[in-house]
Amino acid sequence: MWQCGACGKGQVGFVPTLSPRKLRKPARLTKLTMLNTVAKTFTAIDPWLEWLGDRLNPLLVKETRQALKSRQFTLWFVLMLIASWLITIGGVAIIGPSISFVSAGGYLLLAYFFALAVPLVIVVPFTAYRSLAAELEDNTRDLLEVSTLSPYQIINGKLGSAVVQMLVYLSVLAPCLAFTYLLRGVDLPTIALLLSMAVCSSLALSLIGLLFAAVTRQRYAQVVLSIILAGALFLALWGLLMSAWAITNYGAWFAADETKIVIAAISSAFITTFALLYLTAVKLVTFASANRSTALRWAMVAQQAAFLAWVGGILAADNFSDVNQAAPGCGIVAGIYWLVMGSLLTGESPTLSRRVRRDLPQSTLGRMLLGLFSPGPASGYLFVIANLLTVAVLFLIGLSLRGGIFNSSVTGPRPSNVSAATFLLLGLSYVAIYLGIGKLLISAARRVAIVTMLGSFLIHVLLVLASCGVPVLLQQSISWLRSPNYTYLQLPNAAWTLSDLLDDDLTSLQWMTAVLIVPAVAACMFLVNLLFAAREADQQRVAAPERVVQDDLELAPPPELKPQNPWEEPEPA
Amino acid sequence: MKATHPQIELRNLHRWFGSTHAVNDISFEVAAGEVFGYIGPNGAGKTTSMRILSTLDEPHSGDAFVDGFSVLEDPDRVRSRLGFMPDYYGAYQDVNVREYLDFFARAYGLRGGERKRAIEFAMDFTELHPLATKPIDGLSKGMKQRLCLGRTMIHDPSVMVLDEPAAGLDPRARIELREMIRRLADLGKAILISSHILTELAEMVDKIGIIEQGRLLAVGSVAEISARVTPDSIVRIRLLEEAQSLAKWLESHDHVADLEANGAQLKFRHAGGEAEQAELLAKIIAAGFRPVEFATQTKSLEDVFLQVTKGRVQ
Repeated sequence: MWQCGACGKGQVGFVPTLSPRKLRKPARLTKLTMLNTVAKTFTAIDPWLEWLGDRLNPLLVKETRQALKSRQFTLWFVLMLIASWLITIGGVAIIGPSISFVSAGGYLLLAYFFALAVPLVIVVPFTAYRSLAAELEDNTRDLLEVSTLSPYQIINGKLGSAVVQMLVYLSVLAPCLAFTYLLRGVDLPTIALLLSMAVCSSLALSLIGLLFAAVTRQRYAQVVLSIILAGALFLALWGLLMSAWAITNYGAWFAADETKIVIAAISSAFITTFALLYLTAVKLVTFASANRSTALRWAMVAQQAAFLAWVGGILAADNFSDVNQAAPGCGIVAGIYWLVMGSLLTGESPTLSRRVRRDLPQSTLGRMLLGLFSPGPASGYLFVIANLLTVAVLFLIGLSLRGGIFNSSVTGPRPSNVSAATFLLLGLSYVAIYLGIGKLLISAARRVAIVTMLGSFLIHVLLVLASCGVPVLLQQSISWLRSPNYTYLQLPNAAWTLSDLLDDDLTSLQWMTAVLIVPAVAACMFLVNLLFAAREADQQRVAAPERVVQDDLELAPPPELKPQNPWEEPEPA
Repeated sequence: MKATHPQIELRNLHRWFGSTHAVNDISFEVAAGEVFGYIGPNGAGKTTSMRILSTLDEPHSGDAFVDGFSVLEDPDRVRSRLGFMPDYYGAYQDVNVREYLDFFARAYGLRGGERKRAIEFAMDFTELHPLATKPIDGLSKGMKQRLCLGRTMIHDPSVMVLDEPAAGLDPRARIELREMIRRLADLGKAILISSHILTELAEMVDKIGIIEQGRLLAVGSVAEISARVTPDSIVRIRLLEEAQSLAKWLESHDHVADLEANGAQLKFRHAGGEAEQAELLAKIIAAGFRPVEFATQTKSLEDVFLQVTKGRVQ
């Protein structure tokens, strides 16, 4: 007896009723018993499958249904099968009888990898992009947003669908990859690494595709973004294939400790960047009055922490002997990173919605510790400076461990400790100045127009370009100023000032001037923006509306109070 | 527990698109079980205010509430209580009718038997059972509208916002849709509906809001608005005899103007209310006239709409 999933009524399925005559035949009986067992097993499993199906992401279910019916999926699946057959037959034919003693696995692996990389790096990410962009074109995005699907569910569903497609494509080539191992010339770690690279690239590019689709609702912008994405995907494919070629051509590369460290470092960078991109995509589809900033700020901190942990670990392993060389490089990476993040964070709305204010930290300690994570342009500015300051302070500690911050003697490779320390100080100051001026410009522009986050980013880009480009232009175009050397006119130009500082090309007067003026301007800018931050921090927490409290109580009623003593017990009727 | 708040409330809503003031200080309320007709010319601001109510757009000032929850502060709670049917048809490729409803049932968090019952109810209600396995791309306009309505009601929302649901439908489909909407209101749902087909709308709405150039010009029942814009009513009397003598008799009466006698029929404008009309009828009978019909001509929704709006666009 089968149980109908829809109505719960009993139905006779394919299991026939056993008649006494049939029972007399032992062979038939065994077959029927087996059928009964199978039927019972399915009946037992069915509710579990249904339970599981209910908990699957709705978008994943829908997208998988659609994908399995779509022509595009069928086409690529068949193409992959044909490609794998052609490579196998062609490869074996070319190798010929020497297949038994020639190490041909590496070549075939590369060929299979190419066949796999095209759908994984081009088709899957572009399909992910199209699946979200098409929601806008087919007028279904509104229907999704007005449903109770959370932004996480939307992005997870789309990403999950990409993973399902990826697994299907991988399953086509899995037997072929096993075949390459049998042919010799390639070891299991190499196969595993190549597969991991392909899967991780596909996953990351799919996420970038979703990010591109979520970033704007304007159709012309979507057209431009789709072209950029297509170009980026082909570039990624080329990079992946080149890496695969390099990996398969190296010999016992995997055994080296440095390789393992590099792979681990790349993995941590991948994971933290993936988390940041994932949260960005989620927050782009989150409703505007929600807090779309705090989670991203935590992700940025996590990324910086991972970066510093790796750099710190590597430097500590060598007793901080190379900290003077690492400081400028890491300072540049951190400076550019926080300049970009700061240009976006300072574009946030200064007015917090009531929804956000409901969750603001209430205590003084909470506001002090978590205030930097609250949304807002001024808190964003302070957040960036605090993070960059952390980087600078940690490297200064490293420099002091290596012989002191003010040590100007160069015994090993340049720069000297004092140059590295000055570089960090000036780098931090320049970021504080650029972001501070940018933030003030945005505040002024907001009095007359709406400034979006993209607008904020562009303001900062123009500001940095102007502050670096205009002094150079003036120095080269005005006859009495023309000089190939560094002049005081280049003080706003971070690129020239910092590079000459590292190369020890600044005169001692120029060095002194830069060290005094740039941090002083940065301090002024910081103080001005601190006033804005104080205004932002003044926004108080608000209570949830009565209707929300009432609804919460209906959803999760408080437990009934039990009598604590005999006097509180109700009297018997 | 009976809700003390209106199911839909728009409070001083403003929305600009550049220099265009698309929604200008709009406020109204819709109670549970009420059908509110939202009418106005194209570009009046109906869709914008409906999108704000559905959490798809944000007002520049003011707020809107669904079941007491602010669309700005608690859009997630609003979404679980609201069904929105936009004026366009959002379709997925390679999906049939049942799969489409199944997806939205899942999207609204319905699970197991609850989801199956919801799909069955929606398909029963919209009579889509025979088309359950048909791809939605191949459905007719009327069937697509039914499917949209099914999708809108799949999670049993207490509030439904329907933007031009009858647009492009044939007369039979329109009548069926009208009946469905009335049945939904009878189930206790607050329904905000916009339509340009005023005759259809007049038969299903309890209240209307007339909007033009982003401003709400009038709110209330058709009769209330009609009485507000033109307090005089047209009275028609049919007598057993010639109406000329009654016309002469009425000339001296207060509240009566524009008398038109035509055979046994008489038409005139009456400035009083229903009590004054009853009093007048009693006087006519007392004066020896023999009326067989005494009727007040009600204004249609179209008349009211034309009187209230000026046909301006922004």
